Amino acid sequence: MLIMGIIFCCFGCSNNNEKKDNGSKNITITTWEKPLDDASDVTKAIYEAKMQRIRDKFPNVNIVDIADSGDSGYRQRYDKALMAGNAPTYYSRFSYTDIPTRIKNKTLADISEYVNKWELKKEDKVITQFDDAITSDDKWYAIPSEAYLQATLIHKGALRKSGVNVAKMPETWEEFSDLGQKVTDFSKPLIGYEIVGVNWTSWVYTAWVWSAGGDMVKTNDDSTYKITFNDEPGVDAACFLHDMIWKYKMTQKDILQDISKIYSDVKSGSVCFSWASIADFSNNDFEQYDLKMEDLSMMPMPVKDKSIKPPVLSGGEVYTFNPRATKEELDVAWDIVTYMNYDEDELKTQWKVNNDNKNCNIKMPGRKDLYKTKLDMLTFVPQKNKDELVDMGNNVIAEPFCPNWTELKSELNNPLQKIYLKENITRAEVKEILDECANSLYTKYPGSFKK
Amino acid sequence: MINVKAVKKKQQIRHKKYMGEQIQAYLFLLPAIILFLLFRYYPIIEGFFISFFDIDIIHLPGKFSGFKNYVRAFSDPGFYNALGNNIRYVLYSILMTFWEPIVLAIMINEVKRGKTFYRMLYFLPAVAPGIAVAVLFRYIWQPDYGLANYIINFLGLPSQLWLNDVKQVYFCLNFPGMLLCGGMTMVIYLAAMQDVPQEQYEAAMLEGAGFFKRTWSIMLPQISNIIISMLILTIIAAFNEINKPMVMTGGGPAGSTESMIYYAYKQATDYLDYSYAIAMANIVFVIIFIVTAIQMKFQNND
Repeated sequence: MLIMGIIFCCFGCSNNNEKKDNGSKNITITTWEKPLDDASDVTKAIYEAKMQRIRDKFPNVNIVDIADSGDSGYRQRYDKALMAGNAPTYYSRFSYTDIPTRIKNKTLADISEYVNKWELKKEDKVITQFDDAITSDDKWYAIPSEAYLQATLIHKGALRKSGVNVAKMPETWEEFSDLGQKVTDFSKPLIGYEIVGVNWTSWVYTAWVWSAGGDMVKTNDDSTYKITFNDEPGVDAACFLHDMIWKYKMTQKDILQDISKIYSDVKSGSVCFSWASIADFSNNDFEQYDLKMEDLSMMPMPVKDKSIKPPVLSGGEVYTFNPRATKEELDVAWDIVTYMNYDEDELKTQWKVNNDNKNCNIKMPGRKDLYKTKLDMLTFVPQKNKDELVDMGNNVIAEPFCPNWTELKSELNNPLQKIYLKENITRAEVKEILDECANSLYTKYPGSFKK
Repeated sequence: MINVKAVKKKQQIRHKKYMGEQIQAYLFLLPAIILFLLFRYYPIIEGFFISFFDIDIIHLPGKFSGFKNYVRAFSDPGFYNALGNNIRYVLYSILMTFWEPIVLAIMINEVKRGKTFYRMLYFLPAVAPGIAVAVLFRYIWQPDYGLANYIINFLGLPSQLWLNDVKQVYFCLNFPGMLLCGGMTMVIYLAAMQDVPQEQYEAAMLEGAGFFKRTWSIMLPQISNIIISMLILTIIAAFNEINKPMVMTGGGPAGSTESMIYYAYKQATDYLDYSYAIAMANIVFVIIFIVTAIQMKFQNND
């Protein structure tokens, strides 16, 4: 066994040397964008076609394509690879909210040199809602990949199953809870409104705080942040979410379920309204589960009262670059990423292929000037869905990313679960729990949060 | 007359042969020792080393920070919450899953016919992967439409929150183990019980000792070493618990099932605070080491 181990180590070392010594003309870069073996043939074909165009455009670049498993452990895999020296040259899985922590941990390359010379940026053609999160001290560490809109997903098939005739979609909390009670029947099961729990509890809560007219944090004059989720709108939101479970009985009691459960329930038609997005479902899902695009619809969050503008949460992934990459590798990676995601002709080719294969990607591209073009080119997507997305874009709020935002969300999960699970909780108790959480954050992160 | 030279020569030959056999034995053991050192001890030592640094992934190991991570652990309310949860895991493991295989083994040991059949019957479910069982019970304990509530509603009882209730969650986490996983340790106890000399039982029966008296006074003392060993292993497993919180509860509800290892895991995955995570894992290692040392002392005393 020892001898075999030594032999394998030698092979491993020799392979790495070959890659590095692969000629002075070719630059080798690594990506983790390849679909898994069990991806649909359509997905693989679309990807291969795109990679072929890139290889044709950049003939002197040797692209080492690796499939990543795509599960929730991607952050750890990336860090392990970074430590081992074989992380991808560019990477597109990180949410923009991850970036401030990674800037602090120095696990991202500084790409200011490229962004500052970027013509599209100067022409204001690139989405900007993530800019504050992906910069630090006037330096750039990522560029947007795509943005998604997250609010309330409507499953019209499930609504039909409930037997309730829905003339108009609810716009206020009162209308929402009224309808939710009527359509819910756990014996079927048919859930009125489904939310995600565990580590995502405070993510959902964020949008409901906005729909109550509040905010999670507010900027102080000295660039620290005042915590505001424990103000009255935050308490209203927590109480309403609690009441949806216990008073209106329209939301699941299982607040330990993760987001994959919502996707399963949407696919099986067991949920009428949910915290999800049409963009979460692939062509595969539509085919395998007989899910129809016409049956899915999106609307902004219902609001506490009509004086509040219905919010839509915007999130998204960004492209980051390997801090260990050489200058030549970064040059090539930048050219490929900006070609793949920002070149108008290449984007239109991708969108045409998506449309031909009914590949439903309705996320907002990095090129904000081309969003309408993208939607227009997706001819199989009902016009109604497209109009909804454009309307929703009117009040898009990016998820906050203040320093220690990840810690704030994480700390808030347990108190929110406590609130949701106590049947007879009073408003005063809700306020006390949220205040306690806020005070704990002020104590733990005085550099970020100040009253 | 004894030929001293010949005797000494024989002794030398015997000694050489003995040394040759020893060296041979060590050579056969060497690959396993090297792999053990490399994949077991080296990560532990490296872990201790890294816990004294603020890890920098790009420029390992990072900036030396001394005992900062340990001081932080001992002043972190989350750490104490996780420690308290681990103690709950230990208590519930002992209450719900520790004694059951002993009782099963005693019952099977008393069976005259079909002993093999009953042994297989109780052993087979233990072969099922723990994660699969955990995922299955995740759905059974679903409070809105899960099987558990369906059954108790059928019996006229009100629905329960099960995993979502801080008072019920530990019962729900350990129930699958009680039901399905006792078979493995049951086989170990059964083997130990079958080693107890029959004559002792016969002698006790002649003196009028009943089943409970024989079990308490003869069988259990004879297998006490095994019981203590299994108790220590149960405690060690409870301190290493991560599967149940990860698969079934995500550490909830409200952090009530977050074990120390799961808390450390979250420090690494959510906050990328690898040094702090390793420091906490080291603290768990020290706790387990102390428990193991106590076990070895018990066994040595016996």
